[in-house]
This record gives sequence, structure tokens and C-alpha cells, in this order.
Amino acid sequence: MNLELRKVAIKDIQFSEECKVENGCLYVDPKKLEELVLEDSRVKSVSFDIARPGESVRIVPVKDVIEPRAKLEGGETFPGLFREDMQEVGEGITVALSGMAVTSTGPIVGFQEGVIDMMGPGAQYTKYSELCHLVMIIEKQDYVDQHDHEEVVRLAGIKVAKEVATYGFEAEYEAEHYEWKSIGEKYDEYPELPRVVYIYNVMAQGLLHDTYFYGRDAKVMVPTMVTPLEVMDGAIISGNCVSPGSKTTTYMHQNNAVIEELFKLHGKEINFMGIVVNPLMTTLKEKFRDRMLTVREAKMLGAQGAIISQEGFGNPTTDLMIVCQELEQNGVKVVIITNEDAGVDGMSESLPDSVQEANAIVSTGNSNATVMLPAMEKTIGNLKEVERVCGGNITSIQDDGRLLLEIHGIMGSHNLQGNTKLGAITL
Amino acid sequence: MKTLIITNNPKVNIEFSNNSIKEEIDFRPDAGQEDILKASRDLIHLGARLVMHPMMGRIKPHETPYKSVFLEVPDEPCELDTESLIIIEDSISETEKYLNNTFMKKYDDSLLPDLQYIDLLLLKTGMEEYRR
Repeated sequence: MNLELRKVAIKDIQFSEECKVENGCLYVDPKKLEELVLEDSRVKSVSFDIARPGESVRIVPVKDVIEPRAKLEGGETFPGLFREDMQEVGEGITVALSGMAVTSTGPIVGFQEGVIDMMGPGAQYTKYSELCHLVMIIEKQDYVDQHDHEEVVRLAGIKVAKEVATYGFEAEYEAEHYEWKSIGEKYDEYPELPRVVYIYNVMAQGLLHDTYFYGRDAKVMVPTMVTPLEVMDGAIISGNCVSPGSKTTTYMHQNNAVIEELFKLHGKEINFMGIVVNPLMTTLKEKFRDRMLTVREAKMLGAQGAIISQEGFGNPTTDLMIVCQELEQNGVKVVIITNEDAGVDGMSESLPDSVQEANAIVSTGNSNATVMLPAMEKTIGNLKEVERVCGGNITSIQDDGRLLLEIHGIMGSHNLQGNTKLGAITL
Repeated sequence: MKTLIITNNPKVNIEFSNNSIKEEIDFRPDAGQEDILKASRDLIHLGARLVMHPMMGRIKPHETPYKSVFLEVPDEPCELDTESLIIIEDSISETEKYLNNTFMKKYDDSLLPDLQYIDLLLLKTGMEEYRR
């Protein structure tokens, strides 16, 4: 399997009647995109806005962040979402508009979206502030229920991201080449290097807590081996609207930091053998079965070491710990990536579950740490929603317009694949 | 053996008391999340088993007042399921941490219907998984 990832660097976005990428600027026709989104009759209205790094802009509430990617050769990105006859992805040529994102906003159910500040201290907590955002503000028809509402916004975001990526087909790019061989070939390639497998936990629990694999709900999958190249092409997308600081957005799936790092080390320090996607389910019997299957698949991949990335809060810590324990008991050295919920003062027990075998943990920070964010000149979305977002409360908006927020209200502040500026140290 | 839902979520109560289903429901409208968890722990000591992890989803204890726990309850007291006991104890201490610590409560009445709905859907997801 060979993938050429053509990265087109985007430094600005402008509305225009012509759709193209020129000199690092994406020109989009909002009318054309509106028509595209309104193809779904469940959408009542949609509008677009632009936010650039350094501008006094706050986007809230953010549902998903998506990097525009489209295939020049070899099927289509985000397979299985819009057509049933999907093709395996990870092969051919993919064009990615890097440095930007399509960002969906609008409250779905209750409170579970996040904040992105494009400047100021809030911007220092998230990598999303470094991107140009094509923000989509979407309103559903009155008859659409909560479940469909989530789907409407999710699909609209992906559709727009897929569309605008095609505008970059002719633009200048930097190419990255990825090759993925069979397990046997990989085994033989670097026999002297430790074999490392990535255990990729994804939420699979119900409305606002879902992930989609080849367009299908991850609740109906079992732990599955995937290639990193499929992930880059959008085989995994986010349906997760909860805990903005730690939820894996589609952008973070596409740009999974663990995968990037494993590729960098592959052939030098480690032999990157593969990925097992582990859906995080709600019942204990599914958790225990998924542990068994995940560990077995990691062993089939020849794992001597494993990295486990986390998603979620509460019950997923049990999945994280039992998989870690079982792998360690099978002689596989494990490193866990998780955030901590240690209270505003950082003094509380930070994980709801633990095992002795979890002796190597990379922390992406304490989600409850509180920050005061200055007022912004412009809000895209609805500032009042801050009171409802995770990490905010009814006293968050100060009289002078500042915001008091726990950092898990900031999108991607402690991303659980480690794509974050935060960490933690033991004092 | 029977299956039992202990809940303080009125939507769960309405959903399951209107159906002639296998689950029994113990609706405690005035109970807090800790009360629901502790009532479950008492049953676990008598041999009940957790079917679902009691901290389902990822909504934190200070972000919702609702808790629904889904259990298998034996007809006679029987051997303790230590796995269930560890999980319920961890869930109680995690919930107490959030409710008693400096965390800010962050929902108001306008959010309650949505919070009830999410709790119900997560419970139903687990029940579907259980029956598969």
C-alpha cells in the first residue's frame, strides 16, 4: 500500500465567486457551499464565516474540526459516508489543505461543544488556533431530532471539507510518501528493532459519544487492525461532541500525532507494526471481550511494545487499564497517553481507575485547570453557549466580557493523541 | 436472576415503566448520583453484577444530576463479584471527588431534558449490547 499525501499549505481563506487555491490562499464561494449543504433537506439554513490566526475572534460552540482532504487518485476520502460502494483507502494520491480546517458550530444537544480563541491566552492552549478556519454555522429543520441533528452537522462538515479540498488539486504542494507493507515483510525489514503497535481507543457509546469507521458506527465493530494510511484518508471520523479538550476531532484522527511520531521513529528506533482500533463500549462484557481481541491482535502483529491513546472520561479509563494490564502480563511494554482530572487545584486523584502495570503514563495535562480568557471583538457562533460548554458554567461570562473556563472547554487543549501544548510533571 | 435499573432519571423511568420489559426499575427521583451508586454497591455486596460501567459516556458528575445503573441481580444472595465491586467503588470515589471538590456545578433547569435524554440513550446502548 502506497500513499502520496500532497500537502497544500493554506495561509488565508477569502470568499470569492471563484473557487481555487492561489498563493496559499483558499478562495471559496459561500453560495456554492451553501447549496451543497442544503442538498440535505434536514438543514434549514447554513452560513459561513472565516477566522484567522491572530484575529480577535472566538468560535463557540465548536462541534468538529476537519482538515480538507480529497483523493486525486485511488477512491475517495471519508469512505462509506455518502456511498455504499466504498473502496479501501490509503492508496493513491491524497490532497490535503494543511494549515486550515472546516469547523462546524451550533449547539447539538445541550452543552457539549468547545471554544477556540484565535488570539490571546486561550490560543496558547490549542493547536486549532494556528489554523485558518472556514466556519460553518448550521441550523436544522424543526422536525429533526437530536440524533439526526448530530448526523446532519457531521455529514455537512465532511462534505464541505471534501469539496474545498478539490480546489487545491492544481495548487503547489509538498509531497509526503508513505508505504505500508504486509506484517511478514515488516517483520523481516527491521529484525533488530523493537516491534511497536498502536492501540487506538475510540468512543463508541451512543449519541454524542460515537466514532465512525468507514462510515459505520463504531458501536457495531470489534477491535480491528487498520493501517495508518487508511486513517490519514478519513477511514475514522468523529461523531463525538463531548469534552472539547480531549475529544478526538476528525482533524486529530486525520493528523493523529501518535501515528506521525511512530512513522518518524520507524526504521530508526522502532519497527511500527500496525494499529488496533479498539471501540470503547459501555457494557463490561464488551469491554472484556474487546480487551481480549485487542491484545490478541497486538500479539498477532508481533508487539513487543504498545502505545495506547485514550478517548473519553470515566468508564474508558477501565478499558485503558485492563488492556494495559493484559498486554503487560503478556510481556508487551505499554505506554499510555491520557489526560488527568485532578481538580481545579490539581490535588485530587486524577484517574478513576488504575492498575499496577500502568507504570508508564504520558499526561496531557489537568483538564480542570482554570484560565481567564480576555473578551474577543467577534464571536462566531453564540457566546452565551459558553455557560453550557464542558468546562464553562453559568458564572463563566464576566461583566467585562472576559471568560472563566476550565481548560477542557478549549477544543483540543489536552488532545489524547498528544497533539497538544500541555503536559504534566510530578513534583 | 433478574435485571434491574436503579435510576433517578425520570425519562428512564417513563421509558421502562411503560413497556412490558424484562428489566425491573427502581426509580428514586430524589436520589443524588452518589445515592444511586451506593444503592447499587449494596446490591453488589449481595451478589449483583454490574452490566454496564456506571460512569458511561463521558459526561462528568458535576455536569449532570442523573445516574442510571444497570445490574444483574441474583434471586438469592451469592458470591461477591469483585470486578463489579472495584468498579462501583472507583465510581463512587470519582463521583464524590467531582461533587465535593472545588468543581463548579454547571447545568441549569433548561438543560435537564437533554441530560435526561443522553443518560437514557447511553443506557439503551448498553442494554442493546447486553442482549446481542
